[in-house]
Amino acid sequence: MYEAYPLPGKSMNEVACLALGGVFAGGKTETSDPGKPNLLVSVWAGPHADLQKEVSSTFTKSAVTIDDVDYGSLKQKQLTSFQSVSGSGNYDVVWVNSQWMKEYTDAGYLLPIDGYLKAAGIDTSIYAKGLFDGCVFNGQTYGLPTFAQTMIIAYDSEAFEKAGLAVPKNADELIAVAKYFKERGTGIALPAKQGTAAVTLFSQLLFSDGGYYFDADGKLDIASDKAVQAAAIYDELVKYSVEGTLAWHHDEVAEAMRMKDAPIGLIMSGLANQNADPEKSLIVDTVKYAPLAGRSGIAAATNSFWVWAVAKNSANAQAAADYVMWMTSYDVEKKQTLADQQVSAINELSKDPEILAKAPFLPAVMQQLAAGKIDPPLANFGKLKAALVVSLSEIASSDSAPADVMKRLQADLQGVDFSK
Amino acid sequence: MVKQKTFEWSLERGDLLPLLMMLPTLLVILFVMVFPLVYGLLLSFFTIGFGGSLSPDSFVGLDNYLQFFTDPVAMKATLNTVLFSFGAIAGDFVLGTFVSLGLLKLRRSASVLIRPIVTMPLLVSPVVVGLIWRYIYDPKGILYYFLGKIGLGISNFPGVTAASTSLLSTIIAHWWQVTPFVIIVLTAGLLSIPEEYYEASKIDGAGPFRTFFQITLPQLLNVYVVIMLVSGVDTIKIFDLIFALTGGGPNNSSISLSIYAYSQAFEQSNLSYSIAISILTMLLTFCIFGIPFIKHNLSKGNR
Repeated sequence: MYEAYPLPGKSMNEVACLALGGVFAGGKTETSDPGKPNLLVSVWAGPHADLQKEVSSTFTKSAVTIDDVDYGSLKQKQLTSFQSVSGSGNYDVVWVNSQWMKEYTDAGYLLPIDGYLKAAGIDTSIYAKGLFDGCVFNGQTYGLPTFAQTMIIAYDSEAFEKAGLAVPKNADELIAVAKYFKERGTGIALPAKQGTAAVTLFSQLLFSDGGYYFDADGKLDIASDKAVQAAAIYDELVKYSVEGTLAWHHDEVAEAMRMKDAPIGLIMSGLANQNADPEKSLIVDTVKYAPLAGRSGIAAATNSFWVWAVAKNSANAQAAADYVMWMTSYDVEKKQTLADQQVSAINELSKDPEILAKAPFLPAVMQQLAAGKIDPPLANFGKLKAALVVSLSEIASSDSAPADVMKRLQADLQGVDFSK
Repeated sequence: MVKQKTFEWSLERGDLLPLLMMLPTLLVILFVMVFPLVYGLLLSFFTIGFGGSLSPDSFVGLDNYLQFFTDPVAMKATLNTVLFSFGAIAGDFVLGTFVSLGLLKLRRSASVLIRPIVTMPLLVSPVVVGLIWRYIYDPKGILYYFLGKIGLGISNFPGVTAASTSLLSTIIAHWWQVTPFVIIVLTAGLLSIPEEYYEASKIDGAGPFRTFFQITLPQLLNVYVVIMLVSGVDTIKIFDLIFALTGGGPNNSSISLSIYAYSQAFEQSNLSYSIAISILTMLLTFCIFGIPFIKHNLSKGNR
């Protein structure tokens, strides 16, 4: 369909691309060499981006320019680039959030790389199956996984020792610990701002207790007992949270932990490495980690990761595929993991003693990822997620009963087609 | 019988020259303003996301517009946007008037120093204003430090963390940024009022309030109308400040039409509905601020 009826007005989109490029421009770092193909790479300007630039400068086959853009603007900049004519300054390689993959592949924005993988002799079984499967659509591979993330418990062991508290092993113990600290002036740090971070937390609590968004027949089941229970746990945690958490996303939660404003927090593992940085953290020697479990005591992640993919409108597809395969190779991933403790999708790396010594949170993360689920690749899942964002914000910021809110959500979304 | 003269075009005489000279401007307007608007209007009659295609199957007619009026979030966003706009402009007017009048009363040496300082927020990007105010509203930020000095805390004014105060909190941040613009324009207007009017009112024994309402305000009426139009358009399409400060929450309490349109386009891939929201926002702006402006100009013309 996309090929048969191309969207008219591409010149307008190119203009928009240039305009957005100006507005949302992050730091572009170029390693130019006139004898090599030039690759323009789009990445999220998180704490890992500087390392990606450094690592990319050692890639010998192409001259790589990294365009790192803040998360809020990344998707729209990538979408605008996909509309551009090949060779007009558009991205060759994109670092894609796993939750955008379905939308990108449906729209025909990404190039299948099976041919390149086969020609290079890449063994894709080295990647965690749950993550690699998130790169495969309709039997074709559209990228390679990296940078897995999940929400884990980070706590200040010194504060726990002083209080004589044990590390919470399930949701009830977590609520009890949060209540203990709240009664003493602090509380738990968690992301409760209206946004997707709260949905990640809710989903982890839901998955950990064996729940899901849909029933066995694929029908929406967001008012199930398990979903209501997850929403109630979330509500309780917010009740015993540090003042201000209703305005906090992941970054603010991690900052509160690092600054000792909260003795316990639910942080994204991708930000945990900063806890060990003495220039940014007051908990370098005291921070410890634990899995974030549900009421059952089982900890399951909402598997969130990133995918290195080749843009279909890349003028240098071979060079772009080479770069993707190189960035996700064992040695390059290990180098990045050692440098900033990011969680690779390569199974063997999580057992590497050198890496385990550097990333103390890795066992908790790997335990959750192993039991994790991914968001369903459905066209209308975005609608459910957007509605969940608002419902969870209502639960966090008002006296509304979680059961009532979830029932209303279920009723509001009855007419939405979640079958494909 | 008088023979009526008819105009005959003559290329030699250069009759087409004005048109040719205007042509580049007309083409720019056509391609930069008219074409995207018509194209957007066309897309709003379909149901497509980014990368989607215009096909008979995706044609939905006015469905996107009808959906808007039955969509509770869209209605909430419309109400929030109008409240934000009126709240922001009212505050801008009151604060801007007070400060600009105050600055005129200062000695020249003092006003030369203070005027650039009070106008500095105007130079800050709205996203950065949002970030600055995020730290101001932080429980450990400067606002709660001072509130703490008078025995108040986050429970008395929850700022961006409660649905009851989040919109007001964004309006306050807007005042901080945009009042300097009002001060600059009003100061120019105040300086243009002949001093004789004030001298006459003084001789007649008018007090400061009467002088303000009988002389200053009527003389500044046109300036206020221009500020209202500029600020009105600016506030109805408010996005960046709210996005950085609250993201539209909690519980959609501060969501604006632009944030909702953005969410539909980039988070839910519902480009057509997003465009319909944007077009309705444009019409709302015209109804609230455009029509009164046109009426004001017409009444001036009649006088």
